[in-house]
Amino acid sequence: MTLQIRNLSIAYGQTQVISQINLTLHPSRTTGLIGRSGCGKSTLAKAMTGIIQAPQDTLFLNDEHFLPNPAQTGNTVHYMWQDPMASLSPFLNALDLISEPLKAIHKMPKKARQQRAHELLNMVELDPTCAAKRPHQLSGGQCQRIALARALAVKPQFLVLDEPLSALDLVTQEQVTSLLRKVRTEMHMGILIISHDLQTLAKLADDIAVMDGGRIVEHKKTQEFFAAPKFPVSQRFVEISKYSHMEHSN
Amino acid sequence: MAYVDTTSSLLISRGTKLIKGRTSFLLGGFFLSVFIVLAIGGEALAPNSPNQIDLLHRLSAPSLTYPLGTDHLGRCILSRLMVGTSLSLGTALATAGLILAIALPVGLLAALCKGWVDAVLMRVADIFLAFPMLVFALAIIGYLGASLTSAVVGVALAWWPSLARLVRTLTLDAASKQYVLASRQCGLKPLTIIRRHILPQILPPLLVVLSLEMAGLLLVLSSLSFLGLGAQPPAAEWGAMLNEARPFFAERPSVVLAPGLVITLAVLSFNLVGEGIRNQLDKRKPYQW
Repeated sequence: MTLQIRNLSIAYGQTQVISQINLTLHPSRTTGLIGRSGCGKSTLAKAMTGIIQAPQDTLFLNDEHFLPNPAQTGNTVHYMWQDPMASLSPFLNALDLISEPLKAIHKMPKKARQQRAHELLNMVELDPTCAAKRPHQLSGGQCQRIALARALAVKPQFLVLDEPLSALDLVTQEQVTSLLRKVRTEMHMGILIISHDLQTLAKLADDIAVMDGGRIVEHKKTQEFFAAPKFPVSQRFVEISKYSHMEHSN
Repeated sequence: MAYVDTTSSLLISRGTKLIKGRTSFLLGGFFLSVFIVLAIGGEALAPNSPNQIDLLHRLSAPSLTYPLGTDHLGRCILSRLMVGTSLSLGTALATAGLILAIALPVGLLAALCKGWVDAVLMRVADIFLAFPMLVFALAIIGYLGASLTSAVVGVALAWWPSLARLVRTLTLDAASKQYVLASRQCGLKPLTIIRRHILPQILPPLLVVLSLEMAGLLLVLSSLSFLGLGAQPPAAEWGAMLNEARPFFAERPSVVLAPGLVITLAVLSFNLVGEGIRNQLDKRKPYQW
């Protein structure tokens, strides 16, 4: 099963945010999406998941028209929000948050739901004591992992992650990175990761797409991309990434 | 001894901290609690039967038998005030409940359905708002016939649009929160989203507004009873008591003053409690010039 985006353009009033985007997501593959702030990455992600309405005939699932609707197709393409704290209800505890999709989508009975929620908490390496805590009682990194556990509870075919590692410390980043690798292989999920961190994408992504001015200007396999970035914006990203990596090493 | 001193000073400081800035709320809460006790047990606590006529002692001054005196039919004013608490507060509560029952679904539907549903519901609300509330309530009572039920229905029908508009505004804000959108992606049905994610956001501010409105409702319902359009004799209701006592004000002012003061106190209690809840929920610091 593949998710294809064909000639997708979106404008807010007179402002063209993204234009003529073509991108394909494959199961068990991770695509990295980079670009400068405001280049339309999040808009693309939201359009793919139905949070923003995409024009007709721009999204295809296995060559068939696909009209994403968050209420109905969340288990096909699922969007994980940039701000984990804001995307989790302050009225529910971690266990209830993770249980929500298990009840609503998978119609699991209460006992099975709780067991699966605990398994997912364990999978994202969260302390069991976090189960009874509400988002405001947890750190940004813990909220990020709860959001990820909930996304995994949905069990979508394609998962779109918007800056999933930005709120995490280096150790947790490493843990989530290996978790995402595991999820991709075990759950055969197609993943799109929006990130500014090329070092993380180098470890996670099979291919990398670069957005600039609302367009995808370059899309290559990760190794090829790092070896020979073609466009100035890609070259700049690789340069900065190498420089910051060297600084960390020193 | 030193330990006792420390404990008592700790208790005093905690007590002061608890009371500080909440004096009016606590005072309002105290009076409201008294009214609630009277509403529940007024009949049992009343010194006399509220409807017992004693024509030999009509319009009598306060005495041991009749602590606040008697009305023009020789009925104990204190007993009637005590027993009337349940009817007066009960009708105000029922009206508030009815207003909420109309305004909540209308506001929620308008905000969540948007488009033509929103436009139609809000235009209907605008039409209702175009008339002065009391005039509109009087028209409905005139159509239904003077009774306490008509007064409750009339006031609720005249009052709901402003609250429905508030519900709509609060819901629009609540529904745009990221976690509400995220819950849609998790397959939650609209009613579940309303129950689990929207109502917990909009109910606290709504209850504050309603508690403040309660004072106004109590006043309007008493006014309607005073005009003879609400509770009918011999029902012991504060507004109706005022209405019945009106011709005897010159002869025995306490007949009018007693229910008037009780209404004022009840209105004040609701205002103080409502203000207190609002202050507790609103943590923003006031702008200082």
